[in-house]
Amino acid sequence: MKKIFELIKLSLSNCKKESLLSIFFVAIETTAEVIIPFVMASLIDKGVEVGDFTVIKNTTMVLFVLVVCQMSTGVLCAIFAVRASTIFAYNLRSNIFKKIQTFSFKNIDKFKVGSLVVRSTTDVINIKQSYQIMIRGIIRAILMVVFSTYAACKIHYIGRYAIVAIPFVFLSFFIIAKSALPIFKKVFKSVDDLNNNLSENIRGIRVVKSFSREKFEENKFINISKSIFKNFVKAESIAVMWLPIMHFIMYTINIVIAYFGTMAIIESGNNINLGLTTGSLVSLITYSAQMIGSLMFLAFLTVSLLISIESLVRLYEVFNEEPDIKNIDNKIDEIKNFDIEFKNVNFKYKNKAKSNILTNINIKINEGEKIGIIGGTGSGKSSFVNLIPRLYDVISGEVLIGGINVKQYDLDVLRKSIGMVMQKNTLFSGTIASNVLFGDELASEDEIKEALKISMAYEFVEKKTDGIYERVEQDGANFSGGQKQRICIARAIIKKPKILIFDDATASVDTNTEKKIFNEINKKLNNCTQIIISQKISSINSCDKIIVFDMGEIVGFDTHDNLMKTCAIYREICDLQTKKEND
Amino acid sequence: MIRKRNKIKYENVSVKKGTFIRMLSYLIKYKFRLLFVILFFVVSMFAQVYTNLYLKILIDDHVLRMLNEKANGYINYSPFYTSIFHYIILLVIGIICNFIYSIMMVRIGESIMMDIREEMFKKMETLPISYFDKNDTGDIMSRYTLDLDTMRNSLTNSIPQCFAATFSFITIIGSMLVLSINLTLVSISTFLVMFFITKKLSNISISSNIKAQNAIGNLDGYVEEMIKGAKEVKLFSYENRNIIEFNNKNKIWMENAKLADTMSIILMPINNGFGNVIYILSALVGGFIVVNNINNFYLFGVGSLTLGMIVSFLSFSKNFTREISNISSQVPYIYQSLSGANRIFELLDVESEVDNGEYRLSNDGYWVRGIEKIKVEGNIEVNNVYFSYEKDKPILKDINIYARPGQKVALVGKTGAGKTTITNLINRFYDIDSGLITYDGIDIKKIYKKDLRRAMAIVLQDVNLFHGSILDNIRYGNLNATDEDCIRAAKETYASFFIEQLENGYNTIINGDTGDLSQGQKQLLAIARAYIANPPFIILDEATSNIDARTEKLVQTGMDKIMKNRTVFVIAHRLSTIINSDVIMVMDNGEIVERGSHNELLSKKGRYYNLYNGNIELE
Repeated sequence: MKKIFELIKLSLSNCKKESLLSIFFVAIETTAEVIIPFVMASLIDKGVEVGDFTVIKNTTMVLFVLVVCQMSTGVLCAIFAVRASTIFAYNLRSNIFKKIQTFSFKNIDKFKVGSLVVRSTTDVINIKQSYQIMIRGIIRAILMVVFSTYAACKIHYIGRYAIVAIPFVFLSFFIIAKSALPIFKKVFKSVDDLNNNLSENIRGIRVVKSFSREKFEENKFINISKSIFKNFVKAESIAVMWLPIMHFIMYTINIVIAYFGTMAIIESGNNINLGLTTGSLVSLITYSAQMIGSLMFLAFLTVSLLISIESLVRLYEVFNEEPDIKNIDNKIDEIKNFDIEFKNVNFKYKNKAKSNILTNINIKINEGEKIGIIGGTGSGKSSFVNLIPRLYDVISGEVLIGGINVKQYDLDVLRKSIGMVMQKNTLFSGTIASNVLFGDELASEDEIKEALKISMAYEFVEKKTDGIYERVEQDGANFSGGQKQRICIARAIIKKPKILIFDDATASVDTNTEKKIFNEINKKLNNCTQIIISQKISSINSCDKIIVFDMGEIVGFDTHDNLMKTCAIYREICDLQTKKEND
Repeated sequence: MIRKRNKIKYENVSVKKGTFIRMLSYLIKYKFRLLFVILFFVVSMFAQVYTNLYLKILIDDHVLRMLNEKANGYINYSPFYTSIFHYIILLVIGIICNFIYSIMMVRIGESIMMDIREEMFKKMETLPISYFDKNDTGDIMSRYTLDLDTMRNSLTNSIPQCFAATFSFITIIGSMLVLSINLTLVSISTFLVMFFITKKLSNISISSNIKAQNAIGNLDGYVEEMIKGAKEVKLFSYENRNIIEFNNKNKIWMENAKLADTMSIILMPINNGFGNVIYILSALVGGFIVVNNINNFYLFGVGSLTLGMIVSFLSFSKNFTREISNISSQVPYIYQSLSGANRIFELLDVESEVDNGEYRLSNDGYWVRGIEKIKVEGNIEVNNVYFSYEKDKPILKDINIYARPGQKVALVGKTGAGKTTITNLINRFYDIDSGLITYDGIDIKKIYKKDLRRAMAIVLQDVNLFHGSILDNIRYGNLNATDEDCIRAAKETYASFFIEQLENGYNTIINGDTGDLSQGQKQLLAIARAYIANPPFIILDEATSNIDARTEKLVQTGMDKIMKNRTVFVIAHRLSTIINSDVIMVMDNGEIVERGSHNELLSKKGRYYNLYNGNIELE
């Protein structure tokens, strides 16, 4: 809970002035708004009805000044309220995004991508809206309640009867909210179901049609649709009671004041000095109605605030999340030696998972060695390499680089020395150059071209109309799989990494090009440790050593020739692949 | 497959004529209930209006009378009590009416929503595949959500309010004209100034609102891209640069949102102020007219203005501005709902897939037309077929394929060579431009589509499952299958391996698109689903692309079982899986360039040979 205030305080830091000014102006605006009807009444009573043009002239002048004052403070208040709330929203969003940047995959998985997107856009906008309402609307409604209650009480003690309405307004508000909310939640769930059903049907239309399940899907949809209808009607029927109940309260107060007012007038003989008069009875009822009206408005605004409280809580959850992979306090900023060592490493993605992904891994890779990795899907190859740049942390055991646990290094320093290319890489929308610059923002155009040449990407980049400045769509949708992989290899190479990891990075590249890429890398990046995961024996059999993974364990670590003799699984994979060549 | 981002631009939607009428037509079904709603509404409005009048009645008829009586020594309270009592009864009736019409309106609104929703879905299920290929999922979805919602809001809220406000606006203007044309002109001219300013401001607001919306869209996309690419962001230590980039986009949003919000919010005090200005000017000008005895034109002639008339006029002029702002605040919603309605009707007006034919598929395996029965043998012939998705962009050229009963036909070639398109034609997701496709000698166009598709199961690379248990998902292939049948199917296709490891086994609830299962597991489920359907024809389009080679070897046994005694079309990326096909078609650029068995093709040392040895990129 402390964090929630910390987040708000942090995000409000440079818009406090605007917020206060907004409140200040709304107070003046409201005051003018309360006074104007008074003056208007006297314009009619003392001016128009009597036909005194001087009074009309003077009163309209006063009114005019008041109206201008109301208008200008209203405008000023709007300007400041909007300034304050958008700056607030900007800060909130920026703080949330900063926080997300520190998240590990475990943190991200906890929230899911879609939800993080919603939190940083829609939720922030909800909060912005509410903040605006708070520093304008709510302040205004509260002032109106206070002014009109004060005015009503000032006229006659009967005005105090109107105050009785306040608890009733709030009580009915809470009862309605409390009974309607759970049903609304049910509605939202069914709406989610409906949307899921819809998207399943749209995406899976080929399946629906090829199994001729149109009728079946229709019935499913109608069932959900009916349950939405049922619950929505139930919930809204409760919610719409709000207005009649408010009318009931307002009418009751009216009648009570009318009755006691009449009695009081008769008591006083309509003498202002002895008590209530007919004229003030009218004002009394007007003010009490205004008070209840403002109360209703206040309650209405509270609803929109309540909605945004959920949003705030969701932001708070993000803000409060402790990134589980981060720098330690006395981190080491330099890596002196790049020998990699795994000591008794156990690993799984979810702490709750029954079995380990990696079990008892012990291995040492010397600086500059070229290592191949092979094994079936799910055998733990990718998880193994993910531990080196600390994309994940081990459950137990140690990963060491240069004899020092990777957790002790500065994350940036560690990751900057490792280049990693995966089978499914993300290219970001931008240009080819901007994607390669991801690896090294300071690289020159020549360096970009050089990297693209090493990865054999330059041959197709060159042919593009805009060369290295050719547009890249989101996910690199306008490039083929092989082309994407080659751009990604360039992106990793430009970092001049000390450790280069290829996780099936050349799966979509043809064999000749693949060979050329490896040749270039061997030539240009000397003394760089290479770790190459591949499904194809042919891609790795020339490595210094090959690690064979099976079911999360290392079952072989040796040269190709030795593994052929000692490792049954390796031989099996080899046989499977060479069989095809002999066919 | 690439999922397009969902960006809907509302400003581009042009509203067709008749959309409004068509939208209103959904109310017709509820006309009697609507009559009651109007009745109850009028009663409750009357109670509300009477409350304002009652004070005057109370004072004039009772308070003043009783004051007089007090002076005479005897006060008769009973008429006062009766009047209060009548007032209470009226209010109670008003409140009850308010209750009833509110609840009725909720029911009507939700019923209309349900009607349209179901109409849309029924329609959608009949649309041809091309509709889904052309339209983005998000775009179709938003018709059910956003568009439908604005339409409901408009039908049950904005339109009735607008009607009521217009009605009272006309009465007010009428009354004002009856009192004084001079003063009405003063009011209207001031109003025009206000209207002009409002229009200017809201134009700015709308255009910057669109910019702010787009900025949000950009932010949305950026966050998504950066979280999906979090691995790269971390590997390349891009976090700080990322934050700077994000804040640049965030700033663009802030500036536009600031302008949009400011412009729309300052309308309130400005309109309010102008309302007061109209009031003040009327009083001033009215007073001036009276004092200087200027002619007052009114609807029925010319005369002099009295003080009483000014007082009445003033009370009308207050309502005048109120009704105008009522109307003008609803108009944007109505306009928005029209473009929403337009998009809904667009979906409803798309031509449905026509399913007619002569032959049906009987359960005992015959193509049946009247008394004519042709045994389903499993022959598919594709003769000289040409096809294009768009005119003048031919996708397939002169395709000839002959699949004999029980044969396995493989289609290989680069992405975009036209392999999947062929499968789209043999189950008639699309119709051919020219040529002939026959099933057991019957022209494909003479077979009912539903039966044709029932005869053929497809397993695609992108597996689509449905919310429900694993069992339900397998049963999707055959709704009559028992639990035991489903479990057997899973065992025989080796899906049982992973299913049994799930916490709730076969009863595990999965979601259509969430990542509960890996791609490979989904493919295994899809294979089991196709297996239980037990059709004479099968299409496997990259069905095992996400299953690793060793698991695939296991699954192969199951796959062999599926393929046995059926005519099978296989598209596979991994060529090792199609080696034992009866015939392999090598496709390039919409044509079949090589055909033959694996060994025949290898010895040709042509395109297939190069593909097989990885000399040509498949993607």
